[in-house]
Amino acid sequence: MSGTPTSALNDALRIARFDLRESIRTRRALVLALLYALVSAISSYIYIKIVGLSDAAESFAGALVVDGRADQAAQAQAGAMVELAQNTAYQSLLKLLAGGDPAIAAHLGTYPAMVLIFVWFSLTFLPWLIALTSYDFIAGDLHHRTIRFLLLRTTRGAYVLGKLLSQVLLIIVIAGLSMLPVLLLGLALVRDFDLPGTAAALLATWPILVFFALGVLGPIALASQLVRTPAAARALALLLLIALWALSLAALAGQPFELLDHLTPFHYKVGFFRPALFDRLLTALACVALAAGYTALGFLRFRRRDL
Amino acid sequence: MTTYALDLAAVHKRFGSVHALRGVDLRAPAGSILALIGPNGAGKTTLFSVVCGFLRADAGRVEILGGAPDPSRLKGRLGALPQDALLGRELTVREHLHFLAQLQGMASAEAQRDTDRVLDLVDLRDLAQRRAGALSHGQVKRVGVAQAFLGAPELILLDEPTAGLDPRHAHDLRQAILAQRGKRTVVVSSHNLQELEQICDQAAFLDQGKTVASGDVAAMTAQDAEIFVILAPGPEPHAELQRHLQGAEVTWDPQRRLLRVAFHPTPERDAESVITEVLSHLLATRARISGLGKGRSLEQRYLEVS
Repeated sequence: MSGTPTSALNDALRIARFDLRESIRTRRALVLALLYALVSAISSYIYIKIVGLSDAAESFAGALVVDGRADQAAQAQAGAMVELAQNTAYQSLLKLLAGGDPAIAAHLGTYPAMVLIFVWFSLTFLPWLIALTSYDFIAGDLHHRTIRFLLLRTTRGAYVLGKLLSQVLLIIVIAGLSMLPVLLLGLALVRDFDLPGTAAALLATWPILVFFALGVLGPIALASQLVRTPAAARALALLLLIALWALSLAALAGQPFELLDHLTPFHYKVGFFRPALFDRLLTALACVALAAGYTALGFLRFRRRDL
Repeated sequence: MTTYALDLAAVHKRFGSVHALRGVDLRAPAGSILALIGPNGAGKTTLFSVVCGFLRADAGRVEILGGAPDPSRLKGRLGALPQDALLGRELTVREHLHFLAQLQGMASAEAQRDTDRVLDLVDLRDLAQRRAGALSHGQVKRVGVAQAFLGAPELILLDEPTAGLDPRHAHDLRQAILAQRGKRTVVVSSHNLQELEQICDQAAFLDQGKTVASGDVAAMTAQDAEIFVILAPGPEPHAELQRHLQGAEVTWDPQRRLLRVAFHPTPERDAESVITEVLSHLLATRARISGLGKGRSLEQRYLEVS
């Protein structure tokens, strides 16, 4: 670190601020924002389609009376059946998302359905979006030798920390912005849309996206420190993520992969929805540890490598 | 006792099977301007990278400003123009320089002032608000030079600083480097030996990863131990001159019509007295003189040793 830990931290913050500014002015931030917005819009659209189908079913039940083809009891029975079917399907979906854990499924049920779909979609696509947009955050500087201007003035440790911070800040901003399409589509297309309730629920999910992104950034930082060219960094980052994803799938089969699954960010996706706040905080902490661990692993090589 | 801003001994660096540095010895006295000269692939850029800490030497001693190449120790004390390094494309020239000045340890206001100073130094004040990605090759090189001069570094390394610059900016840069003499140590690599001869007081020749000669430019070019005369067509009295001059060696290059006189300088016999002696003899033999000088050029010396 440069001189003292304080000056290293100052350097890292300066690098993060500068890098973030550069990212915002390049297409990188725009591409990332558009991809996030796309995921957000798709998830909202799917929700709206489901609501539309369910509204159609309710209308059909109501129409039975209007047409005079059914009495009041039959109409009530049809309505109840539609509601029951919706409820049962939703509960099954929650249970599926929760990996069969009823407590987590119940906690998932406390989120507005539109928000839950958005968060789940985001958590599913986030790792791949990050891999595709952040892969070269160090390898790019190595390739263009921009790093040489910086490392005359600060340490490699402060540099890596600064670049990582910049990516985290970028993801915080863009994850926040990606919530806007949910609200806009909800306002435009959903009948009786609860704007304050949805906005509050979205805000509550913001840290989930950010901490999960941190967990994903770790392996990306590892890949970006090991190679010199952006193309190699992209290939390695994707390969690493695919391997971790495969590991998390293999963990479903039980030991010995179950233990190794803790090394993958995918393992922590469900943990953010545990009912106890303490468990959720532990999950967030695990994601931070994952980011630090993988970055440090890359740094073991980076601190000694030729630039 | 001479203090050295740069002190390298037996430095080796390999890239796989390529042995880029094969035991480089180099010393730059504090306050001097040192020319690092060598053909392409001699290891100049590799050596710069080792000194800056971008590359790690496999063996040998690397001492910069009295210690190891550690960025925390050298923060603000070492400036460098790395070859082929690019700035980010989107931010302006001023934003880049201001950021680098701050990273060097300056407060914002001081960084702003120093940014203006170095922009003036390379005549880029008018382009300060331009995106770095929109600069020409020469302008990028000038920004690179500007960042090397930020603050008050004790040692500045410039890897081919005038390559790609137009003659006026190359001249201005030479003057800027010359102005550093005695204040800070500057190490310059260039293929333009005439330029290096004008600005440097020390020189080191690098060939195939090894130092083949180094020392004072004056001594290397024999400024006090050799004179030359260029003769116009006409008499060629070099044999008579050799007989006339005791303890001196006269050589004659008929193609270039160049007469060289090498001698051992003493307090009684310095270059000026030899010039007088030689000219008197040549004029007496009706030789026609079209040029005269002391020593030999850095380029000639380089061709001799490489």
